[in-house]
Parts: sequence; structure tokens; C-alpha cells
Amino acid sequence: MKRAPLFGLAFLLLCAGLAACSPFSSSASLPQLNRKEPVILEVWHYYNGPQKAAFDELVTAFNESVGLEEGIVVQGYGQGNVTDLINAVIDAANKKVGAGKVPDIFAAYADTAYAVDQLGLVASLDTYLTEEELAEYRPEFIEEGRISQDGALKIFPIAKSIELLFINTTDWTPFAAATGYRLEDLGTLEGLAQAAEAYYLWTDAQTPEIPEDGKALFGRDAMANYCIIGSQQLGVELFSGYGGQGVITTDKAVFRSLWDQYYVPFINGYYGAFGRFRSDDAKIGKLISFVGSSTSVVYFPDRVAVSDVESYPIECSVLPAPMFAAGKQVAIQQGAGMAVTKSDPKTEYAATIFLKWFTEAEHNIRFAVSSGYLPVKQDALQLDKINEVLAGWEDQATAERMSHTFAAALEQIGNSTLYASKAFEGGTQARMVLEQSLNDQAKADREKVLELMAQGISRASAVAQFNTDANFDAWHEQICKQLMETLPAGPQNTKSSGD
Amino acid sequence: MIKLSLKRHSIIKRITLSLAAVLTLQSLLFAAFILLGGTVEQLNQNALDILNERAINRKNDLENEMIERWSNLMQSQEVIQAKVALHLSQTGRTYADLSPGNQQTADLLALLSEELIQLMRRNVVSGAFVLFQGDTEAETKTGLYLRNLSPISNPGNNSALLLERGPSNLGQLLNIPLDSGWQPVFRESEDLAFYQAPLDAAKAHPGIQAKDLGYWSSPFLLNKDNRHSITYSQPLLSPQGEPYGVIGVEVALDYLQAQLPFTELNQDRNSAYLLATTKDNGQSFQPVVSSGPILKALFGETTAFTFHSSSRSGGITQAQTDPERTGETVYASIQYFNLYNTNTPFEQQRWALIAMSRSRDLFHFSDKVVSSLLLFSVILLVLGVGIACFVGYLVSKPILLLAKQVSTLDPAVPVTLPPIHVSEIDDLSAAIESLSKNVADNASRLSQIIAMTAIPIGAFDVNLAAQMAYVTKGFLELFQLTSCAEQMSAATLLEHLESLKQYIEEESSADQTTVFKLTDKDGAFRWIRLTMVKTEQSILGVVVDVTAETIEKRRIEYERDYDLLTSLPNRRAFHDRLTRLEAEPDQIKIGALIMMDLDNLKHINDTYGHDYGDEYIRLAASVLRSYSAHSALVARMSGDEFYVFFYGYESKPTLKQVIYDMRRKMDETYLLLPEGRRLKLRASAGIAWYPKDSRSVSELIRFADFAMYQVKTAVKGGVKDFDLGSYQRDAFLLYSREELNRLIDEKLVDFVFQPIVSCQTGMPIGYEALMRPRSKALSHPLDVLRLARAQSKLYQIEHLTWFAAMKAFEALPDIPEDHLVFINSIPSQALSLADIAQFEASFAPMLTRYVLELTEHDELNRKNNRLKQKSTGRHSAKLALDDFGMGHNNDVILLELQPDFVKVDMNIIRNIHQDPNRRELFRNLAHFCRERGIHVIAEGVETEAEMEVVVSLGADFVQGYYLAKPALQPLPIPPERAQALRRAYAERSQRV
Repeated sequence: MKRAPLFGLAFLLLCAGLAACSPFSSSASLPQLNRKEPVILEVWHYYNGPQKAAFDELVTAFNESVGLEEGIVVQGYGQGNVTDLINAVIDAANKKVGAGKVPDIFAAYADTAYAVDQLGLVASLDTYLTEEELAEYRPEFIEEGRISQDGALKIFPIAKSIELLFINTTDWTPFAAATGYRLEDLGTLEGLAQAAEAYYLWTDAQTPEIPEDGKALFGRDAMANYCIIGSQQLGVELFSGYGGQGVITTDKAVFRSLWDQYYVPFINGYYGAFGRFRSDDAKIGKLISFVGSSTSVVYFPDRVAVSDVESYPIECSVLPAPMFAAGKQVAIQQGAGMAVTKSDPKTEYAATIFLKWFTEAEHNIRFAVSSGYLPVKQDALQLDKINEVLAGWEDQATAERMSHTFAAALEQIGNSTLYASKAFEGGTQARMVLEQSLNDQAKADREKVLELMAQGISRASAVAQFNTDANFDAWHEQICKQLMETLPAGPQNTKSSGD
Repeated sequence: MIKLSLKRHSIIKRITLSLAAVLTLQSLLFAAFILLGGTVEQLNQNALDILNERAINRKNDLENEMIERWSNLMQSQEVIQAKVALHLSQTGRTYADLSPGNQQTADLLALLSEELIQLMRRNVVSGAFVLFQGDTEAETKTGLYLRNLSPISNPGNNSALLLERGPSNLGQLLNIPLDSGWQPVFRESEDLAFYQAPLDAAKAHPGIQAKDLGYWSSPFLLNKDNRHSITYSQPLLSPQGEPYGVIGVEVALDYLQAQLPFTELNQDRNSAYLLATTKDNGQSFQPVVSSGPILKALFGETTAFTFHSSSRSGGITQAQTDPERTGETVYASIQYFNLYNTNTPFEQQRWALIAMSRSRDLFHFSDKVVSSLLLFSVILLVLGVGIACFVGYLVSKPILLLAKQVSTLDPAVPVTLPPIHVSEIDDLSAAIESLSKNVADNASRLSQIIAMTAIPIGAFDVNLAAQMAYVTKGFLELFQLTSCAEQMSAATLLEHLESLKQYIEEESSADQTTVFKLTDKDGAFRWIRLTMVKTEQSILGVVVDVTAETIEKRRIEYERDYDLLTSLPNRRAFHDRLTRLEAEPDQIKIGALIMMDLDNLKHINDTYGHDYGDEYIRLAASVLRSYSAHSALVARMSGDEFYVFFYGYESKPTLKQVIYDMRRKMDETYLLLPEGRRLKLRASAGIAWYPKDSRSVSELIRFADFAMYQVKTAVKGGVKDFDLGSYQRDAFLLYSREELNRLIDEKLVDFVFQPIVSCQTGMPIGYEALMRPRSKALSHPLDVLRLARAQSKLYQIEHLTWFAAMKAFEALPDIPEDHLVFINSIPSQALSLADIAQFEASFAPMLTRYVLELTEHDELNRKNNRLKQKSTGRHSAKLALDDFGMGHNNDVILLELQPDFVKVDMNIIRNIHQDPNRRELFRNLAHFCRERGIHVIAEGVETEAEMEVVVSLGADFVQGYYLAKPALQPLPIPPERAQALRRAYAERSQRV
């Protein structure tokens, strides 16, 4: 037939037209990335200082390698601190005036991510990860990321911190030599308190002409962690529950233990809190040890500034955080993971590619050793691997300190169960209460003790006025009340025991 | 008409192609309009303008922020200068005392800290600092450097603040954490451009306002904490204008970056802002901070950006990214800041905000518009072509259907075509219907007419493609196939035609005509003519009964070829057949052509009438016809002539026997005449033999004819075989008949004259007129006479001689009146009385001057001679006896005729001087004649010797070549011969 070619032509043209209209040429289980059309990922984090530097360095490395190949560009944006970050995310999610676009990835704790997840903005990452891949991570870290009720992975672990004891051995050594205390004695809270008392007395004795000028041995930053993990060690989970069903269990005996092991040494001056952070205090020689996040190592000074013009170098040791002697071996683990916002599969997939890359042992360790965070994969949590990376550092002094830190951290996580604080509605406020309440009480009463001492009253007498059951009861009552107020559902969620 | 339009195309092709052509043209125009019409250019320009505008606006905003807000240090500078001055005066110190390790300086810094915190908050910057020069020699410098990690959210407390530099107790004092890179003092070994640059400028340009000594630093790191920042710093001036330190603010690059919302350039985050400085007026840019991740993707981590100017207007430049990376073209709008007043120390450092976008992102919209429109035109084209095809299909389908229906229609019946609802086609259908009706009407009318004319006619049509044949009733009847249906398969019809082949009588490939000869049931022949026209698709055939026509034709042919009287073939038919036979010598083998002439026909006709003559001819014919069976062609030539050609014989004797039989048979045949008399059939015949005499039939006829002629002229009733020798001699007689007739009719003769000279005078007394025919075939007068005799034309020759000779003589000039003309008369002929009367009338004055020369052969001649003698006597003309001494002219005649002259034959004269017998004869004759008063003329005298002898023997006159040859004009006698003649005569006279 003569018409056939014409019809054929028309058909071909039609097909070509349809094909041109079709957006997908093929479909695969995983979205296709295009090098020419890179997916741009905005990452909001709260890293500052060395952590930010380490993060940015890795982001650049990613962009120049896998990102360039696959068509992914990651841009990190520091959002100040965790609170600012989460507020910015929520503002963006709610499209508040002046707020930016919701980032593709944002750093989040379980409790902060919860609020965003409630808005339906957090993508579930299980789709993009195989069972094998998930198994490479330390199970607790993955578990912590399963914040939604259905157990979907919402927070991708990228780095974790635990609490460690940092100690200025330059100043510790003469004391230890003189008194016979050993670093091992600092393994328990009780041992720490005794050593602190001894240190106070020993330093006081160094200047006989000045009475009561003993120095504090120890301080701690994260009071909430102290309360939570201390309670946990003593067998009571302080924060439990989920979502709107948060439960706070305030065991009085536990609280008394917490009181005794912080408040009492504090008002005696054995423990201290002077500057904004204990690392600040260590920098100017106000105290020689503190419990802080493993990331604090970067803030631990290498010199102590006696004055504006005088300073001396110090050595540093890192030990597992002390625990209640009678308590269980439980250590707090924290640190934000990364949440991926719900967008399109391509972007979400690209985000997981970045996060997986970031947590590969090689990259994760690089980040870890620069920031003090722990890597998240099992095979990265090995000291020799970490030391291997550190061996390449120029600044071997810092490298050595990092090595100590990781040695301690690995010992800690090896010996202890890691525990992450539960996230629930109001949990953040409850933490704030824990953060401030005991420390504020201790600081205020220490001031009063100092005032009394200034009036000529002996330290023991002055302390005795505050180290009373009544004072404890008053504080305990107050903190329970404060904690209760943080929960939306009211008192029924608060359990008190030990009355 | 152009040839193209003659090509055949289907409707769908025409419609589709033309529609498609229009659509394609339209699409091309559309595309050309889009691509070339400037729309794209305009869209692209718009995109560039927008990029440029955004860059300008953002630059203005940032410039405003930097100048009006961040670097607005006037208030703080005044406060701090005042506080410092006051403090120094209170403590009694100088500016040089502002050095580290001094409690009073630390106290001063604590005093100033509040103002710095205020400055940070007021100017919304990420840091603020003061730095005192103190002891110029000292390596360490004291000062205060605060940072605000969250300059925008700006919580009321100092929680977001960090102490970077400052006395150790200040942190605790202000409850501000010490940053990890905290140091109590500044060291000159650090990168302290923010301190050094404005201080140096102030020293170099004394008296300039602090504001004009302000310095924006490049990004730098205060500590190893990766917190990149830029600073703006101005010198602190003593009341005397001496610089003693700097005050400044820090803007963290993170914070600065937040001021560059690259997404405003492009929704898809594919654009970038780059804040950069240049020291070489835009040759290269050192990045300060960039925003937009695409920049990293495009350029990687680079420390210098270069752009080359572009043809695009409005501050737009282009950059090409590293081909190793993406290798893309980037458009950049570079907008310079005016951070410094003119003629200030740092004027040459130019800051610029560069907005960048990839070419394809920037022109994404126009590209999309173009691609959408092109896609649209393609879809349009596709749809158009599709519709064109569909329309073509819709239109052509009913036409094809119609064509199919029309092709299967019975043309004999008026057609009805279904409407297809396309007016033109329906009109066409209507026309076809009407045409068909007319055709059908005409056909039926034609059929009626044909039927009325009773012309037996039939036709068939074989459709080779359909393998169908249609035949008319007439066809079937003509071929006696009445049992067949009118419609049959083509094969069947062709089979029928094949079976008819045995009846083919004649076939002509030229006009595709075949004539069949059939026998009808009554046993009569019928001739059917079939004419076929073959094409690739069909065979058309018409059959006509041509019986009547054929019979008529045959009758005419018969009449043409057969003699009506004898029913024998005529000359024409005989020639045709003979010619056909000639081509096949094998068939002839030995043959004999007999030419036969009946004797006595004229006699019978004259005596008994033509009925008997005809009967006589028929009788001969019936005898000859009976030999047709014996391989003989028999034909009647004319009148009494017949041809018989025997052929196919193996030997001559056999054939001779047949011929003999035939003669015998003829001899035994009688014509019954009235009164019981019987006349024998007699014929003369000549025979020419094939192939002995000739292989050519025309020659055979001629030879036989000649042989018969010979018989006829010799012995009638005889038979003679052809003889080549006599033929070669006498053939002309037979074949010069026409020539003779012409000669006679047209008087194609001349007469020459030969003088007859008197011996006495030596002068001519007259001339003999001798005939000279003007014909090549009959050049000699004797031939003419012989032929004329054979042809019985002697009378005409006689007539011609009399009249023509006389006329010629009459016409001769200068002939004396007493000279005579000697005319030869044919002895057997005598002019009729009427002719004599005419002769007398024509030549009245000349009647006394002619001499009639006579010869005599037989009885008839004698009679004629007497007649001639009478007429000459009446005319007073004279007689001469010719050829005396030879033949019939002997002495008796001499006596009888009493002629005036005797001409002695030249046979006697020849060599007479040597032959005594001739001399004796001549002498006797001369003597005899002289006795009776008859003059003697010696003819044919050729030599002087002959002349002398004849003259001496008694000749009165001499004629011959000796004296003059015959000529049209009589030749004069040569004088010496005339004299010789006279002398000879004189000698005789003397002797006598």
C-alpha cells in the first residue's frame, strides 16, 4: 500500500513526540542521580569551632569526590546551637516570615527531632539502607534514631559523644605524689569526692599563710546528664516514656545520692564552677579536672594562664567518667544525629549517600578525631584505627591527647552499657531543670558558705548549715515540682518514690 | 501544461503531502519566528537583566549593611576614647602604659567590655574588639576580643558570647566562656592585619579622621578554630590625634554568608553569590565568602576567580569553569562596593559582590520556552500530519470504495452509486451514473440497430486480471457455441478459441484479424472474421459473419481471374499462378509452356458468325481444361490464344507424351457447323521447355510465343519447339510490333535521296527516295518491311512511303523542276482509291514528277502493279521496274508493265568489270530495253571500273556510291566523276 509509509512516518513522529514528553526514560528502585544536575543538600548543624572545621573539611572532601561523581553538593550551615537550629527548622517548616527554606538535612537530638517529626517533615531512612548497612553501626546508636512509634529510622547517627573525665596531670601529679592518690581512685564518684577533698586540703596546705585557699579538684558541666545517668546507675530511669507520654521518675534516695556526690563537695569548695564552662576554669587553673563530653577535649587547655602574662603548659589525662560505686555500669551517650527532611526520593537518596559516606570508618574517624566525637560504626570504634589516623597529624601533642580520649572512651563503652536519654514532649524543659537546679543550689549555697567564712566562721560550720536533710528535702521538693511543670499532661506522669 | 501535473498521485498523497507541506512550512515559520525573531534573545537579556538587578540590589543592601551598620563605630569609638582618656588621667598613666599584665589595664578592659558588647549588639556583628598598642616594642599587646555566636537571635544574656582575647579573669567576671582558642593577650606574631593596617595608615596619614582610616580586612583566622571572619577596624586616636590602638568589629563569614541569600537569584539554588576583593581592578578576585553550593560544584576550592568580559551588556561577564569539572559557561554580574572614601589609604582594595548563574540555568526559561514551543510545533506537525493522513484516508476511502464498486459494475446496466457525502465526488458519481445510463441506453440502442441491420456480430471481453470472460450472445451463435453461458472463465474461452484454430482460413497479424471458415448445419460454408485487441489486462474481440462479403469477394476474384467464355483462368490469373510456381522450382521439375493459337477462328467468325466462333473457342477450352488435372495450368489469353503450362514431370519424354495426347485429342475434336458440316479443331502451338530453355516464366512465355509465331508464319496447325537460334534472329519481329505501330502512327521515318545521274550529261535526272526509320529496334528498312509484312501492316508502310517520301521531296530546296523522285512501292500493296485521291490532292503539282519503282513476287503483286500502272498513267507519272535481273522481276513483267525505266539490280552490277557473264547479261538487257524505248539505270555502282563497264554496255543512267551516297539533302556529283561518266558515255557513242 502506498499509504503505509505515510502512516508509518506519522506514527514515528507521534512516538517521538510522546517519548520527548515523557519525563522518565527508565525506572529503577533507587532514583538516578545526574552529575550535570547535582542535587544540592543544605545541612544545618550546630557545630562550632573545631567541630565545624572538621565537618566543613569533610563536606569539602565529599563534594570533591563522591559528590562530584554522583552529582551531589553538600553545603553546611552552622546554626549556632542546638536550640537555635531546631527553632530555625521549625520556623522554616511552619513557613514563618523571614524563615529560610527547610534544610535537607539537619542535626537533631532525639527530643528535638521529635518536634519536627510531629510536623511530618522527617523522612524515614530505612528505604535507603540495607540490613547489612544498618548492622555495621553500633546498635544503640541506630536504636536511638528510631524515634517514631513505628520504629522507623528518623535520625541517622553520625557521631556520638560520651562523658569522660579530663584531668590536668601536670598539677595532679605533685598532689598524687604527695598524697598517694592514684588516677584509678577517680573511677567512682565517691572516690572522686574523697580525692577532691584531699586535693583541697593539700593545696590549702601549700600556702600556710593563707587559710582556706584550697583549690577545687573537679567540676562538671552537664548536670542533667549527671542526674540522668546517676539515676540510671542507681537503678531508676529518670526520664522514660515516649512522645506525649513522658514519665519522670524522681526517686528521693537517688536524688539524695546525687546531692551528696555533688552538692556537698561543691559547697565545701572541693568541686567548683567559676567560669561559664569547666574548661574555662581549667584554662585559668581554677580546677584541674572535669567531667565533660568527649568533645570537650578540644577545649581542654594545653596551658594554664596564671595571669595575662604568666602561663605554664600542662599535660592531660582522660579517664572514663566516674560512676556511683554501688551503681550499675551505665554510661550516658549523646550527640545529635542527622535527620533528613521529607522531600523527593532523589534528594532523600542523595542525603543518605552523603550520610553513609560521612559515617564510613575512614571519614567518620577523621571527623571524630578532630571533634572528639565517637565514630558510629563498629569497625571504626577501634583504637588502633583511630591512632592510625592520629599518627598522621602534625600536632602530635594534640594527637596524643586525642588518643587518650579515645582510649578512655573505648574503655568506657567497652565496660559500660550506653544509655541515651529518652525524648518526649517537654523533655527539653525537664533537662533544663536538671541542668540548672542542683548547680544553682550548690553555687548559691557555696556563695553563702564563702560569705560565712568571710565572717570568720569555719568552713566546716558554714558547710554544716547547708548540708542538712531539710535543705535537701527543700531542694528535692522544688525540683520535683519544677520537673512536673515541664510535662504537658500534668503530675500523673511524675513518679516520686522514696518519700 | 507542466509535466508534473500529469503524474498520477493518489488523493491521500495529494491531500496529505500538501497539508503536510503547509504544516511543515507553518512549523518552520513558527520555529524560525521563535528562534530568529529576537524573542529568545529578549528573554535571555531579561534573565541577564534580572541577574544584574538582583546583584545590584543585594550589593546595595550589603554595602549599606557594611557601611551604615557594621562599620558604624563612631559612637563606640567616642565612648571608648573618652573612657580610656579618663581612665588614664585617673590612674595617671599614658597610652604607652596600656600593656598586658597590668591590673589597671585589665580593669580598663573590663570597663570597656560593656561598650564592646553593646557595639556587637548594636551593629549586629559577630565580634568586637579593642586592641592597645601599649609599648610599641612589646611583643604582646593587650586588648579585648569578644565574639557573639548568635548575632541575630541575640539572646538577652551573654550566653552566646565567647571571650577570644582578654585578661584571664575577665571571663569569670563577665560570665563569658573562654573560647577554645582563648589567649589572654594578642601577639604581634599573629595575623593582626586588623590592628596593623589602620594603625599604620593613621601614622602615615596624620590628621585624617579615624573613619577614613577604617580598614576592612580579608578573611582570616584568629584561632585555629576555622572560624573565618573579616573585620573592620579603625584606629583609636588620642586627643592629640596620635593612634594608640584600634577598635573594630568582626563579621564571621558564616554570618556574612547568611547575608547573601543566593536563592533569591534562582529558585533552584543553582546560582551563587561571591563576595570577593580585587587588588588589580577586577583582573582576578580573591574570594571572601560565597553562598550557593553550586559555586563549589563549578569551581571547586579556588582562591582566585577570573572573569572575561562578555558581549552582554550591563556589567555582565562570563567565566568558563574548569572543563575537568563541569566545563560550563557561567554568567556573572560584578557589582563593586564603595567601602572606602576616595583618597583614603585602602581605596585600592575593591570589594565586589558577584552574582553568578550557569548559562543553562539563567537561560533555562528561554530554553524551556524554546523547547516547549519546538515541542509544540513538533506535536502540531505530528498531529497535523496525522490529521492530514486521517483526512486523506477519510476522503480517499469512499473514493476507493467507489472506484471498487465502479470497477465491478455491469456496464450494460445503468449504475447506481452510493453517495459518499463529498459533494464533488457525489457530483462525479452522479455524472458517472448519468454517463452510464447514456452508455447503457446507447448500448441498447446500438444493439437494436445492430439487430435491425441483421449484421451477425459478436464480441467477447477477457479480463485477464480477474480471469473472467464475457461473451455476447452473437459470439456464441456465430461460433455455434450456443450451449455456453455468456460469462465464463477466461481459460474456458481461450480453450474455445484454441479449438477453433483448425478452421482458420486466413490470418493477418497486422490487423489482428483471423478469418474462420466454418460449415453450418446445412452444410453451407460460413466465414467468420475475428478481430482481437490484446492489452495487458484484457483481450477484446469482435467477431463478424463475413460470409456474404467473402462470397462476393470470391465472385469478384473469380471474375477477375477467369475468362467468362471458357471459365478458364485469364492471363492475369495465369501469370499470378505461374509466378507463384516459379518460386518453387522443385514443384515444377520438368515443365513445358505451350502457347496455342486457334487457326481458322477469323474464318469461322466471318463465315458462320460469332456464335460459332465462340463455340469453337469453348471447344478448345474444354479439351485443354481436361488437362488441368495433369499438373497443368490452363488459361485463355485472348481471343484465340491459350496458354498451357505442364509442370511437375520427372522427364521430358513423359511430358512430351502428354502433349502429344493433347494434340491428338484436339485433332479428334470437331465443331459442328450448320448443315451437318464438321470443322476440325486446329491450332498452332509453340513450346518452351522448363528448365531447358529458361527458368524464367516470363522468358518461357516469350519463347513459347515466339515458337508459336514461327509456326503461325510458316505452317499453320503445326507445333514447334522453341529454337533459340531463330529466336535470336527473328525475335524482334515479334517484339517490335509496337515499335512498328509507333513508327507508322508517328511517321517516324526519314527519306534520304540518292541521285540518278545521266550518263550523257553527267547531271542527275532524279533521286531515289530511300526510307530511313527513326527507330533503333527497326533501323533497317528491310526489317520494317519484314515486320510490316508479318504484321499485315504493309499497306500502312506503302501509304507512309508514298506520302512521306513525296512530302520530303517536295520539301527539298533547289531541286530543278524536271528532276524526278523515284519512290519504292511495295509490290503486294496498292493504295486504295481514296488514298490515291488524297495523294493527288496533296501533291497535285508534283504528280508528273514521281517514278514508281515496282517489284513483283506473285499473282497478287501483278494485280497491284496494274492498279499502280493505271494511277501513274493517269498522273503522267512514270514506272520503273526495280531489282531487275533478280527474283520475280523478269522479262515477262517487263513486257507486261512496259515501264519507263529498268533498274538493273546491284547484284549484277557488282564486279561487272571482272565478270564476262554479268557483262553479257547487262549488254543483252540494255540492248533489249533500248529496243523498246526503256531507259536502263545501273544501280549500286561503286567503282569507276563498274561505271565505265555499265556505261560502255549501254546504261543510260547510273546510281551508286561512286557518284553520291544517299543523303537527306541530295549530294552534288563530284565534277571529275561526272566528267568520267560523260567521257565513258562519249566513248560508247563513238564506238557505236
